[in-house]
Amino acid sequence: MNDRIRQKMDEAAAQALGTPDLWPALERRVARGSRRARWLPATRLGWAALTAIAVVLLGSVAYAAAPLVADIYRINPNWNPAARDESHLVHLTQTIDGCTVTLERVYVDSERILIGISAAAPGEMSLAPTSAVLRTEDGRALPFVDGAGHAEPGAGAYVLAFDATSLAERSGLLALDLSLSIHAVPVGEAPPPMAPPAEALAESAVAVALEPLDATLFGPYRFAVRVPTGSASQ
Amino acid sequence: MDDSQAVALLKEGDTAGLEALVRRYQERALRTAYLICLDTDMAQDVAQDAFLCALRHIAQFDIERPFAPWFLRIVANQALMALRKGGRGRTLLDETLLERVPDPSPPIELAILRSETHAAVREALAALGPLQRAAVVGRYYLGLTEREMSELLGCPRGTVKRRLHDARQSLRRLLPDWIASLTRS
Repeated sequence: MNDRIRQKMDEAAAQALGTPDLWPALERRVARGSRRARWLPATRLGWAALTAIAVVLLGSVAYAAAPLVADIYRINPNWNPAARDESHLVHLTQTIDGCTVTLERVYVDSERILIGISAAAPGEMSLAPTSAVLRTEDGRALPFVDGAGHAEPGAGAYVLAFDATSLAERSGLLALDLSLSIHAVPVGEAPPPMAPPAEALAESAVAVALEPLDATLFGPYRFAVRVPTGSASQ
Repeated sequence: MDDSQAVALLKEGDTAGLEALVRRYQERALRTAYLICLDTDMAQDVAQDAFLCALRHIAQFDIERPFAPWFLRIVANQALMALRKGGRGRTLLDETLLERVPDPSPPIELAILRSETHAAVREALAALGPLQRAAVVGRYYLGLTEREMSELLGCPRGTVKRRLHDARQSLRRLLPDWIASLTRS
């Protein structure tokens, strides 16, 4: 039956559309896009200079975002009020295609793991994390529960919460592997949701909105950390 | 040139790879876009935008995975975005799609099967909202899995699974026996 439905839809669309050739118009659009990139440096020295400038600028923005991450721990009333003060400072940084993500803090208790990150990229884009997956040492993905964040043009700070109730009571170091990507959209457009992959969603998770596919996607970023369980320390 | 060779070329910045993919997938892209937008001009814009979007994101595409499902999901998403920009889907986009498909009567599947003309198929689709059309196109035209539907429509996989199951049950009750047997098979 599905084949017949598909065939009927296919025939209806074919009759309405005819057989247009998209390639000539697309080829022109691709050529126009290539010309727009001519301001980029043409030499290795030029690229080195541009990279040095970007590192200085992004470093400043990321440094400024770090305290913001700490404040975001206070946003969600469901999170442990002590999470901000008892979280472990990590400060691991990774840059991909000019977008820098810093894993700032990690907080672990018996119910949840809170991950604090900041992101910075050149330009006036709104940044937001997406496809965040947190895995334990044995490769198990912990369900994404919710998140909160604060974004300004070119920078943002976010806290992502994962369900830790399935983790056995343990002491010592907990090895975690975080992967995520960053969406960048023009300021003023609806910010992309913090959308984890479907397999990482908890059953109770809130439905996420459609992702704007014309957004620029940076990443995936991967961070491997070991954090002490039980009493936290800064 | 097969898909993986074309994608490999594209990853190296060679537009010959893009041309090969356009020649191969433009027909399906156009038809997918048309079935969601129900507008020929918009469908052409959407299909072109989808190819350019794929070009921009090709660095993130895993060459070991099939190109067609990834690309056609981009087409469907671009079509929904085009409708939103055109103001035709604004009221629906902030709601979870499948929550808005409560046992349609008669179901869209039945309406399409009973359609004797292409215009009737279009009318059946036009009776739905943009997100509902995207769901029908995703399920029946693109043959997406529940997980892929979940990613496209932005709702949890469990919701997709439950709603699709309900829709099938509803369809079996309404369809003649001989069609219901096809459903079971």
